[in-house]
Amino acid sequence: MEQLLETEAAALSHYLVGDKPTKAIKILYREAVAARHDTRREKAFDVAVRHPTLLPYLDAYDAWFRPSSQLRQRLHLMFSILEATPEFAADFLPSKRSAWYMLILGLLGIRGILRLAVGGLIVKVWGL
Amino acid sequence: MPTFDYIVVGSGCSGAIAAQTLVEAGKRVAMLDVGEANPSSPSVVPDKDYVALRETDPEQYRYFIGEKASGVTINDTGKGAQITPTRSHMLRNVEDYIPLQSKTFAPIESLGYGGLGIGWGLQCWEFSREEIARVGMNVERTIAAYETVAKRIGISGTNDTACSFTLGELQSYQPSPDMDRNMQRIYRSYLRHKQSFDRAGICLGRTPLALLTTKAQPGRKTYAYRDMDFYDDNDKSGWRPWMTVDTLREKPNLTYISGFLATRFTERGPVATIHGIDTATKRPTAYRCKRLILATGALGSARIALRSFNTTQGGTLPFLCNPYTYVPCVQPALFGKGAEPRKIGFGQLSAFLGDEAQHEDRSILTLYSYQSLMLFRIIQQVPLDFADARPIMQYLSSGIVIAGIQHSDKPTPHKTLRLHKNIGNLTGDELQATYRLGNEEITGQRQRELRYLKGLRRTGLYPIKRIQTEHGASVHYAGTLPFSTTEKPYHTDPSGRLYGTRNVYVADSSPFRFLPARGLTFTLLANAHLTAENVLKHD
Repeated sequence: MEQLLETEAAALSHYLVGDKPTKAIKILYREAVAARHDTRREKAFDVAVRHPTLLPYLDAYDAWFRPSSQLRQRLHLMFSILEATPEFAADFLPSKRSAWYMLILGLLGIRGILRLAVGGLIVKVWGL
Repeated sequence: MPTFDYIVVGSGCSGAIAAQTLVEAGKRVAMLDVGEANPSSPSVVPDKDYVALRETDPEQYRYFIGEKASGVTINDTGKGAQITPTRSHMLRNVEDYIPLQSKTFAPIESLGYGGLGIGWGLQCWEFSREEIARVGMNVERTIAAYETVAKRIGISGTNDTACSFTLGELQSYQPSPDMDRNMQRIYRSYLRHKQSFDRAGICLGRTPLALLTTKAQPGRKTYAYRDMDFYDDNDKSGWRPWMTVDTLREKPNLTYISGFLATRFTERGPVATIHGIDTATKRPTAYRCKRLILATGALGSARIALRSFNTTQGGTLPFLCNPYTYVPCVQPALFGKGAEPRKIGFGQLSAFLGDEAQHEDRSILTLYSYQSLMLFRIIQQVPLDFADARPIMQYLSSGIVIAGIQHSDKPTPHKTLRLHKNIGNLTGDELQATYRLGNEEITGQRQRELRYLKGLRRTGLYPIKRIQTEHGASVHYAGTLPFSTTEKPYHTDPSGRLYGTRNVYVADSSPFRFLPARGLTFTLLANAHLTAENVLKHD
């Protein structure tokens, strides 16, 4: 179980901030999951962790259609833990950006919508 | 059975001030309280600003998200969403000790040491003379009591164009704290377009706060702009009731007893007895006194009165609660501006509809900068995958402002409380509440909200969506044992004495017959002081 949660933490952290979690973050994540007594394993979450390339698509789908899914809950948990960690503070604190950055954000928004569409297909085809 | 001259039940805002008035008059006072203690006392938060803590402290998760991320909940924008892990003790044991059932009302109650004042936003509004009269209090004495309380706790405010709405007639105040970047921009824009705002009937000014800004008090420093207002009271610049109780406990004439859950009172001759449960042993216990002062909040005092009178006077009580809407807004001009170490989490600017001055239904809007409550609390509102939502929100966050709109409330037959038996609960009962607004109330509130939001756009602040919290989830309850000049069951006489008793007084918001839109806390403190003075007069 411990190994499973560590693998899960690594996949979620890499997806959220593009980096591996520290040992301390893995422990925090493990303890937080244990405290929630959530032993179920939703199929979509299981698939997302075993195939991290699918994570963005399933996450985008769940953001619209299943905001309380296990995947969203675990991602939110890891998001909170990473945010409260000095190593990743720069990824969350407001940072100075030029107005042109809005263009990049626009592209991210479009990518998010495309991910949603692909996520919908994956959910339908795989029966998640 | 232990016997005291005066017993104050509760250590929240009203209990602290009532006890202070009695103790300073030289009386022997006992304060009875459940008093859930803060496990983070002394503070676990280092004395640095928010940005520095985020960048350097490896232990920050303890106060930002809590041990085992206990402060992280998904899709929760309701009850207590702004209560951080270091203040969560204020909610401990509430569901077990003072249960309340309702499909329409979800209040926040506290059994913590310092009551709801632990998480109070420090706003200190003086009611207008008309509002004081509608509440049922003596106008001149209340105005004088505001001064007394302001000198005790320290209030900051500004004599600006809105001061008739914000400070009223208050004389004793320090300057408001400096505005942060977001508020400076909004206020400058307001002043630039003031004529247009005047035509729209909207007036904007500084929010009065129970905050020391230029003049410290013994044991309390002036505000340090660390933006850690939701997490710690390290400098004690903002007043919280437990600070007053801590000071009183050093005096020989105050006895503080914790672990006591008050349930009901009885009277025999000149002696009042407060019955309750020892929360450690779960056994009944009681204390006697000459004068009993209930300061357990409008819902808490309602429970005690209903249990005490239930057999003789029946039991359905009215109650009031400020309906509340919050509106996340964005200030595009401040997107991508970087973190601001010198910032404030408290309300900084408040708006009023000036043409409503004489109306009984009113609303006020208060603006808060959003930084230290972090992205994880709002990220779920973005309908995108987390990986894309994070950089977007990171960019937008320097321009996020939260507008809170609070409405007045008056009694109707659709806002009621009853006590029902439930032997499964510690006290053998539970409070059941019904709270429904009438169509006219809903329409009026919506119209005022839209007027405000239209006005905000003129300052370059754009509302994203209106989020109506569950009734009771954010603020202020009152009106359960209303003031009355004629003797009636479950009513309070103008001195604060509960009708049907000789020596039982109510010092919290239970007697308020009306709940103005401006937060009630300052008036609650003034009323607690006046009630204690009335108790002394009756001796």
